[in-house]
Amino acid sequence: MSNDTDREFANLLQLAIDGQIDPGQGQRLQELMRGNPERMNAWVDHFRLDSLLSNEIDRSSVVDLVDLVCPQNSTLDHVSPEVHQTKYRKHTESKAWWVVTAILAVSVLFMAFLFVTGRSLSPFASVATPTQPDTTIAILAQTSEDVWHGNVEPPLLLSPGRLQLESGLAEIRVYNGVTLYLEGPVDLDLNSLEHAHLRHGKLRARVAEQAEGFTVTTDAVRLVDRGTEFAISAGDDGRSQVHVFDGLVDLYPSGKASRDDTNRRPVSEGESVEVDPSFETRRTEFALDRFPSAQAMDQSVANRFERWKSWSTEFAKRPDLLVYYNFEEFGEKGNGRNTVIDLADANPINATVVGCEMLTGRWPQKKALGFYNPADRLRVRIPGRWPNLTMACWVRLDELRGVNQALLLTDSFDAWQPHWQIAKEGTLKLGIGQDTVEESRRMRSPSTPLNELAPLGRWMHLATVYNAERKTVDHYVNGNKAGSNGLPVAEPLHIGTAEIGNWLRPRQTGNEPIRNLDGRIDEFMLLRSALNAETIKEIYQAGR
Amino acid sequence: MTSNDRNTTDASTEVVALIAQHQSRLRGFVRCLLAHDKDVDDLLQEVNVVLWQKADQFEIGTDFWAWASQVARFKVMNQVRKYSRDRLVFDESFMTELADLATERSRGFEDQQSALRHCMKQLPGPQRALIEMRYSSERSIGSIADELGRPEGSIRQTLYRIRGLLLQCIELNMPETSR
Repeated sequence: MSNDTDREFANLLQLAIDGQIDPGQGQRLQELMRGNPERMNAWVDHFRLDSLLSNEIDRSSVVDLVDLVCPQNSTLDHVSPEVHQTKYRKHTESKAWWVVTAILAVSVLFMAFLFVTGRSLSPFASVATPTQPDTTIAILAQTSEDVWHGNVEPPLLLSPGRLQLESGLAEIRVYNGVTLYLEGPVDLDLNSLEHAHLRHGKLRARVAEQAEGFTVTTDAVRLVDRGTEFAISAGDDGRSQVHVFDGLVDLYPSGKASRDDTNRRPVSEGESVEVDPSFETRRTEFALDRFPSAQAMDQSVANRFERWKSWSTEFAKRPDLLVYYNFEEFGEKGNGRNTVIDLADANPINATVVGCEMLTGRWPQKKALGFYNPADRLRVRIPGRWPNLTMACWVRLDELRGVNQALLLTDSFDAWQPHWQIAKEGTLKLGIGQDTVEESRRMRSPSTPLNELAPLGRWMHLATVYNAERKTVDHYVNGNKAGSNGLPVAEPLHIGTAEIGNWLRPRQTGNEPIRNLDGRIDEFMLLRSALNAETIKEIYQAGR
Repeated sequence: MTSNDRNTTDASTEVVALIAQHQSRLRGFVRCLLAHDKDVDDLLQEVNVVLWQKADQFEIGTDFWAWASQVARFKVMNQVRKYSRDRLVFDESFMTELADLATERSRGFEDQQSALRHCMKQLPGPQRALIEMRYSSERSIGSIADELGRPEGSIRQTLYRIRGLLLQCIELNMPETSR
């Protein structure tokens, strides 16, 4: 057991006791404690002693507690049940009071029930559950070819936590005005509005004036920004490199308190230094092109978009395409203001746009239609009967509302008409009309809940494959199988007039008069074949 | 009101008193599992509610701490499962280990409390003053640092050292049986 790790553990434990620890530091603590009973005991003991001390020294709260919970006490009369709604306050004493009053209020209610009804009812319906506060501190503004650790994509809005980008690029805008450019592999703890810890890899930061003081730490160094743009790396050897493009940063030994000014090492514009774990610094040559940047991000995104465009042109030639909209021609001269051109080669089926603001798609260059208002919808008429049908689209779903949200809904719901939508349970489902409601119910085909597969607010690829011969409905999310369902019976589907992103028929009953999507679509396709898993994966890969 | 109802009410009253007595112990328990302050108050309240709801299941005279810490552990685990991956501080398996340890080491709390009183008296004046400053009104390290004109880190370090001394002292002054 080395002295250094002991010291590190002690430091983190001190911070934890004061409630100032972040998840990244927590993980480190776990590493330090696992298999080390001495440290685990210390951890548990310090927390216990901390509450013992609060109890012992701030005695009034304990005395109050004991006195007041006694129901004979006359103060009972003054306690009103409304205190349930009171928000917690920071002060220990107030906390203790809150607990006392809550318990009292609950017991008053409880006894009132006992007296009045003579039976035991739960009085807890009136206990307010505080709403979850918004903990987000940054937005994942843009990514390109990003692959994340464990294939778990971070959400659009980021709360403090660890980001492990294995490859590709990501641009993060912290709410205070700091922009971070990451290029995988990079392992970063985004700790707060003011602080990020780089475990491994490299990043570039552009710090707006309003965010001066932003701090990036590595194992070797603590970098405090003084209004600038800089790059920093953390290597396996424990060394860090720092380069300042513009302005000034201050370096300190890692782990030193911010008030300690003796070891400050300023680095100014154009300067590059390498720092080892003992805070030895030396000037170094810097390979600037090895660091992610806004330009690299823009270039990568532009390349990605171009590559998708070529793929899309080729894809449009597929003979089994029924409908293919990528919205790129939408709004262009000569196409009609409200018309979306079907890119499928044979028998084009153009769509008519009602409402729908034009927004950006997967890349800033890409067009998308928004389906946020009750009016927003895309009208189509698709003739024919199809024993096999593949429905697929790229969608950015901003909210799951607990009601059905339309992808493609036929105007009527007659026998063998499909309703492709996000069900109120948050799953992808293909409803199939039958002669009776009973029969329709037997055709259920839900996927795994979407929010377990992909974060809301990020673009995702959804696909559903209907196969009448095999009597199956398969769902895919981001190229992966997300549900397989067998049907009792299956016949060819027919669509006729239908809508994308909404449902024409207003509902008279139920709590879902409107089925608009609450999101954007930037590519939509129907194929009259049952695509296999491999092909769906290819479509996803080409468009991600 | 039937005599049965009367008994239920008395038992509930007793449980309320027990809940109140165990607040600080439960708080220490929950905090050491979560490793951060966030959610602690809400969780503690949920634990209280469950303890109260199930008051009739608790047999007066049996080990209240064993029961309460079980409930608290369950609530913490449930809460943590709701966290997104990037908010997780400790892994579940590790939290289980910690919970076992914390349940065990919080036994004999009453004895610890009286041992603590004894040990506080033995602290040198300045150390005792600092501890009282920190805990008497739950003051932040920052405000103490400002008042004393010392860096936060050094205050934190000193408090940590004093807590270490107190822990040693409590250990030595515990009755043999509850060690």
